[in-house]
Amino acid sequence: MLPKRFDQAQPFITLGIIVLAWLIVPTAAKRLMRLSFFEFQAPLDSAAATTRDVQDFWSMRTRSRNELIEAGIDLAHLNAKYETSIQRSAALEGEVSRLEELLKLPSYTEYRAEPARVARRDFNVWWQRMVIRKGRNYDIPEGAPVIFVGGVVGRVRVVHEYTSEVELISNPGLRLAATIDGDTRPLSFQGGNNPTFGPAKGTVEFVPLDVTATPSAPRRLVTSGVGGVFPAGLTIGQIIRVDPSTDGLFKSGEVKLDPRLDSISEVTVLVPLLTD
Amino acid sequence: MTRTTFIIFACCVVLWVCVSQLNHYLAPLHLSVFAGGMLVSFSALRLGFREGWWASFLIGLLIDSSAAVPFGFHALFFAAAHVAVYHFRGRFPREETSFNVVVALLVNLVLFIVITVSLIHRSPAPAEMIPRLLIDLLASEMFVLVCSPWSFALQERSLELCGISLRRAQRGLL
Repeated sequence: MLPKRFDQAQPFITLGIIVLAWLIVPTAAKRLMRLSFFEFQAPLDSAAATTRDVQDFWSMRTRSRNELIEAGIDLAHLNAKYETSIQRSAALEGEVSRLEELLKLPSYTEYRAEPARVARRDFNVWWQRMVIRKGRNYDIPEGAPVIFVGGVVGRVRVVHEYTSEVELISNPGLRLAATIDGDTRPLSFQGGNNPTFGPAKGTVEFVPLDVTATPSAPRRLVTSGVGGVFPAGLTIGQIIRVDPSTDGLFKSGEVKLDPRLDSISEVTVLVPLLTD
Repeated sequence: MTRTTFIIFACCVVLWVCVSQLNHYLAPLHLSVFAGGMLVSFSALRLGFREGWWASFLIGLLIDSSAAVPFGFHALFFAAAHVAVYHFRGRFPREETSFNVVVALLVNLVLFIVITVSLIHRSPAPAEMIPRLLIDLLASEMFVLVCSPWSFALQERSLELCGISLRRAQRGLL
């Protein structure tokens, strides 16, 4: 029979042995387990998201015909505006291709836009992520940029069979190269702390000393295209404050992100098109 | 792992789905709720060591699968919390709901602090996190206070529905 003191400590010894065993489990086995557990709970997220869609559908059914007619007229106006934009965009693309050929420049990466619904938002104090309802079944690649009407949402971190996990730009761990709109000098953007009941924030570093920004005169921060993940010119947020950094060589500042990022329900994944 | 483990695991999955849906709706407010203590407490206080430990470990792995942390992060913390609660449970009236709620609140508080300390290096300005951390912690504790009696009842009734009576087992009738 084991001594009483050892008997009391047995759960702790068992825990210690299991922790050690867990540390030496091969990474491949852990990855397989992670994927299995995720795929086990993925239908629950999808089911909840589908239920929300059905609720929205039935709440829309309660709208009167007049409201629908007005919405239809608004949409017709928007469509007319977009038609003009599409024609202008096609003309500009043709011009860009002609110049690329003429100047022998490398062409920009082309993307396929893949719209996806948000299944779950997970914006806690430690990380900021969302699950979207498209994955390998729509050829979503890992690292693909994700955008919405207000600019950059984030990038695809993990791709599963029917869902993908997106790391948001408000995530404290996310860094990306940026520039100020109308400027070509590269800056470094990092997701920041997200205060309760306030808009999401980020920080910007390596801002040139001649740049100024205030809440009343903010500067638009856009993707630089450096690194090849995000196309250039997508809105990240507004720089609302810059202060000289401690080294005196650059400034660092605060970026206010689009408030719609927090309640987003539909995003677009930019899937890079493979070229020869 | 026994049938009890899987029943408790299934109940914890239901609770975790409820919490994650609540967090989905709270996201626009930048508020989130953590209920790890609620998931661990029942199995640590009421079940046998192995079956309860496995239930805590499995639900930890499930949370890890969709979290931005190394796989096993929550699972090991949940397992450690389970061992600590199990070690001390004999000295307290562990069948009483009020005591179970207090344990759930304490475990939730400890897990929240431990996870925060482990992940604080990710923040570019840790000091600025403090107000949000306090509000999230308060919301989490309120949630656990309100929902843990229901969650304990759900787990106990689920076991009874499957023919496992904890009260009879603890009195040596089974």
